[in-house]
Amino acid sequence: METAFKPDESFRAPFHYGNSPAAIRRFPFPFDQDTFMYSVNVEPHLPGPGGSCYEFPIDIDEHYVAECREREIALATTTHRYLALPHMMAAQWDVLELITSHLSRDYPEHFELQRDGNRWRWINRPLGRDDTFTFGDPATLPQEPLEYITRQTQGDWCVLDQRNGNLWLDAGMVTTQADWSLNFDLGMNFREWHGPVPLAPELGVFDRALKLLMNLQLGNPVRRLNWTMTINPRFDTSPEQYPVWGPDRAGVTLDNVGDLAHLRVELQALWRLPRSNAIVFSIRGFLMSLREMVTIPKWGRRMHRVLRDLHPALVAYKGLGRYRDTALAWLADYDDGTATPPGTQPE
Amino acid sequence: MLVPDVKSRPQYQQLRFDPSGRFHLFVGQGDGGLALLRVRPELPESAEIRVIYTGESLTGCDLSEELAGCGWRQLKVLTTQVAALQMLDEVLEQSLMGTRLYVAGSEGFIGAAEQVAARYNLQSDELQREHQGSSARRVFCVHCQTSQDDVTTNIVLCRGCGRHLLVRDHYSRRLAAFMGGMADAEVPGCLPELREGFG
Amino acid sequence: MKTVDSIEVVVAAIEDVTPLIKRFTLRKISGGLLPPFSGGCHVTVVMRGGERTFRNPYSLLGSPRNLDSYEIAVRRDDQGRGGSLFMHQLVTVGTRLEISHPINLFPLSKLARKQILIAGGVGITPVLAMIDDLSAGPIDWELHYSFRGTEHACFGTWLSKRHGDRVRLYDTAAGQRIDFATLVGQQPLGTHLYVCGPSQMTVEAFESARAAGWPESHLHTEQFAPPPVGVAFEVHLAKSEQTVQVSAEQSLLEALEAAGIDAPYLCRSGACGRCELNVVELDGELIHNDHWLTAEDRISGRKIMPCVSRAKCKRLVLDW
Ligand code: FES
Repeated sequence: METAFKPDESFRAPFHYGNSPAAIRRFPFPFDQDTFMYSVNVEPHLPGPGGSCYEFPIDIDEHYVAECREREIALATTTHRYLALPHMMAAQWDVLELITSHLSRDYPEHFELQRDGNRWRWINRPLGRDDTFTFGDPATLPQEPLEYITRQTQGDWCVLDQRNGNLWLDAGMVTTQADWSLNFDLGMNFREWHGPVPLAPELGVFDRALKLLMNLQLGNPVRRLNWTMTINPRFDTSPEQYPVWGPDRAGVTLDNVGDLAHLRVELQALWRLPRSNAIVFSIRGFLMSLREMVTIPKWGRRMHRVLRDLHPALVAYKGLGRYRDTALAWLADYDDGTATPPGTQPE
Repeated sequence: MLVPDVKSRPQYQQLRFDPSGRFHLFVGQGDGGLALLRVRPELPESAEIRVIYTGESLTGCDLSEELAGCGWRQLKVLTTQVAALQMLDEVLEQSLMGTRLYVAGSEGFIGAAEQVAARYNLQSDELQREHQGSSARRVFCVHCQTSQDDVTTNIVLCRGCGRHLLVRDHYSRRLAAFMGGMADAEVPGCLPELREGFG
Repeated sequence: MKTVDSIEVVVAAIEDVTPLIKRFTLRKISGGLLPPFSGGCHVTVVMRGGERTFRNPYSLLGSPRNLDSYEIAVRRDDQGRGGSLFMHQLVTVGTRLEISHPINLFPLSKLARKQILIAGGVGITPVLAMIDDLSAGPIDWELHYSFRGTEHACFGTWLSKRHGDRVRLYDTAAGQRIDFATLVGQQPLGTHLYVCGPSQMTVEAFESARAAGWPESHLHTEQFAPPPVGVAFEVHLAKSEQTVQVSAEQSLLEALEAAGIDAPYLCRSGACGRCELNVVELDGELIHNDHWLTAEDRISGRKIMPCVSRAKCKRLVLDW
């Protein structure tokens, strides 16, 4: 697919963001039925149909350039967004290799990787970069390898060390998160950093997910979808920036909810890393306003039903309480009560 | 952010002598002295035991004298928590595999002691923690990265940035603190009900 | 979920390391670099021999920095179930094999303050790549390597040349033995112990460490014991409605695979938990040989690890 980037999009006030009709159709709509509850919804991260956001393991879409710029702004104006504990250096290089080799293989028109032993040259045309460095020697890069390469990607990246029968969040680049803090959670194990999530522990979701991830194999990545809602097309909804984005929630009305309220879907993919035996967890966010969503009638109907029947603990956890009724009132016009066929596809 | 029931608090237990260890290091602070007095009778005479204690605490519970009176072969009493933690660091530096660490005291002190222990790669099967005394928390403000000790209410004014923080049950061992985030960001001035007392 | 995405390789060289051990050099059939790996990794080699397919795990022993080829060492076991004989007798330069991606169930702790590696005999194989990782890093380490006679001495001499004092060699034929009690008695806090060798050696090393007060979290081992043999039984798969016969010297997992069932696995030695299956019905008892299931799991009688465990029964019904 030929991607036309939209470099002047803005994910902070004044907002400027929208999805092309093609981008709406490739949106990873997360609900395959009219209700939602947590499950271990993990599946192999296998290539999907051409043009879909699953076509390649690491997706690049029309928002790429703007999202990279958004990350630069977040890094320049806030602190503790990129953190790595010292024992994660081998894993950092693993991530750099994973990202550069996938992007150059899957998007040769945009990215190029030349490897001559440890001498690597990385060309990123959309961002206008051409860098040569020595693989394994951090001094030859402008930032640590993980920071360097994730500045050139969409979505957040967490690196998990595996030891003592658990996974430990020991490094990450996190600037587009849904209300969790890398600085606070760094160094936590799998159970600790999922502590704030309601219901899932009781369902045994984390125990099973942990077991599955501890057995994650090289060459066999997995993925799952997660979702929440966000007011405004804002990526930086970190706890640190809550004073900035919290007030957005109180300004939602029936007139503006279709444009302000966005479904935020995270395509989470996990890979075993070869040299470090660590795991990289990529959390790629996609945003779509309710008004964009209802252009796909099936999705509009289903969103209405999912939101209406959502468990109260999840309403609170996802921070929807203040505007859910308004969103429901607006969505009701797009739900004629007809049945929606199972599956997430547009029709 | 206004999520009431986050459940990632540390779990504490009662200190119990672990006979699988070869050396035993007890570290107590304030009311934690009670735990040391309680386990004293169950300790085998032959065991290699060291004790570090400080009476410095929010509750004013200083058991230095009681501890001195119960015949430890190696007891060090220090006047401040900082000095006790410093001593812990020095002892661990010299310690060998086979050491068990037992910590008893306030949540803040236990957290600080665990940070020291982490430098020596002590795992959960080498470390016991017993909470005694104040349930006051150390709270980390996610907005300005200031930590403050001795917080006893669910809402607290941040000393660093002046915001009202909601204290969550989400705990970081790395920062040895609970998470605090702005309580009234969505509608300024609209605060949840103030509750006194943790734990 | 498809469990294993394999790599096609060709045997590029075979070398006799000792009269009993051959070293195989494997290259990618399609050319190019093999995936990077970490010290302690193994690959599962799929050997298709007539009516039986063997899947044996072998440690990667080359340097994780050289990805033109992988190296594995195979010790011939005449009493074994045939995998090692297959490798010794039927595999020649040019033979094509299928291997799994590298799997690490024996990783080094990245937070250790000191690492002590203990190897016995052919157990040196995973340790070679681990040392490669360690010598590039900041953590203090030492290796104690015990072997019999000239067998394996070549690995030892090569290692001491490269790493000097860090490597201590013990030739048991000359009466040299590792003094475990002394070794584990004086180690700084934060030391981790890794043992790879005959099970007797692991037992002895761990017993000494425990006696010196070491906790389990600092003790690491890897054992590729072949699945124990037993008596034949019949398995019925409830969901797929198939019936499979497990012969006396076949593992349950192997029998499922032979019947064309894509059952999950990773370690094939009862350690990783990947292959766990649910038991629906049983007219006898389960023989658990794994290190994975908890005591409650065993009591419940509802779970089995088919890579190493079997049943003493007429008929076992599994939820598959
Ligand atoms: S395959 Fe690892 S326990 Fe069976």
